[in-house]
Amino acid sequence: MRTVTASTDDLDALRRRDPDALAAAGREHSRRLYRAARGMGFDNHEAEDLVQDVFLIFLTSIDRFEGRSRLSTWLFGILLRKAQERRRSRGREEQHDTLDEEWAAHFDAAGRWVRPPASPDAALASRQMAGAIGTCLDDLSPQQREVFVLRLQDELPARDVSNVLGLTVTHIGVVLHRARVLMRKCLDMKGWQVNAS
Amino acid sequence: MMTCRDVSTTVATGRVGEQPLTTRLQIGMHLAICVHCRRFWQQLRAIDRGVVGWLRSVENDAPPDLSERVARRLVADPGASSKTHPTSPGAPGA
Repeated sequence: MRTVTASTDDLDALRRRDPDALAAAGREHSRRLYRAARGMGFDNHEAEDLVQDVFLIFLTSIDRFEGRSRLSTWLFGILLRKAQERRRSRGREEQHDTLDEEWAAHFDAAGRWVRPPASPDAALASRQMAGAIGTCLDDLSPQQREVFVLRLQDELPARDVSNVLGLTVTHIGVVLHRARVLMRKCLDMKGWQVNAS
Repeated sequence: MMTCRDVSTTVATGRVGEQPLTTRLQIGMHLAICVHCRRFWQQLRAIDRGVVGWLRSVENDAPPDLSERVARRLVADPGASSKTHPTSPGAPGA
């Protein structure tokens, strides 16, 4: 299978709408985009629709792709915007949470843990906890899911996630911190003991 | 001197690698000697692994022929003429 990168030759081929290059791009990136869409909270059918939408937009915007980022980063950017459009149409908004205060409460005035974290056990790997992870991801805000999934998806660097989301690297870090702490809290409530007893 | 709160917050932001060398060394030393922060860090890694595993598992829900259908559609309609998108996205790091 041919691998599409942002090399000049590949870019030229894509811009010419070369059938082999287009097919290779579709084959290489479809499932990865589908996985990201599911990670962002869309169901099976919505995720498939989003993948199709991404490639339609890709075809109309390929002439603007200069190859300074990876093709996958470009496609994730399109996916993100399509995902946000869909969410807006559903009326899902970011919600304020009290996580900063909760995080601060984990530490005393000297910055030491008030309730020491427990040693993580293998329970997280069990099927039951795998199900809990899906449920806990649902508790994150759309932006937290986007950052979390894009950072973990192919270990996309913070700089690329920053480009895709249009957020500063600092903001990406803040959102990732909140997403991870919320996941930890949620998993704790579902039986994964995070604090030593 | 970094506190547990400083170290755990930096670890959770995923930005340890961007810190100056002296800060990275402090974080490494702190994690080496502080079992609480080490456990917190291990918990985050376990959560990350769990999420990656979940993402891989939901990928199995995708139609087996998704990639081929997308590839065929791209080849059949390279101008994307069947559908217009008036709100093209911005260029993410074009």
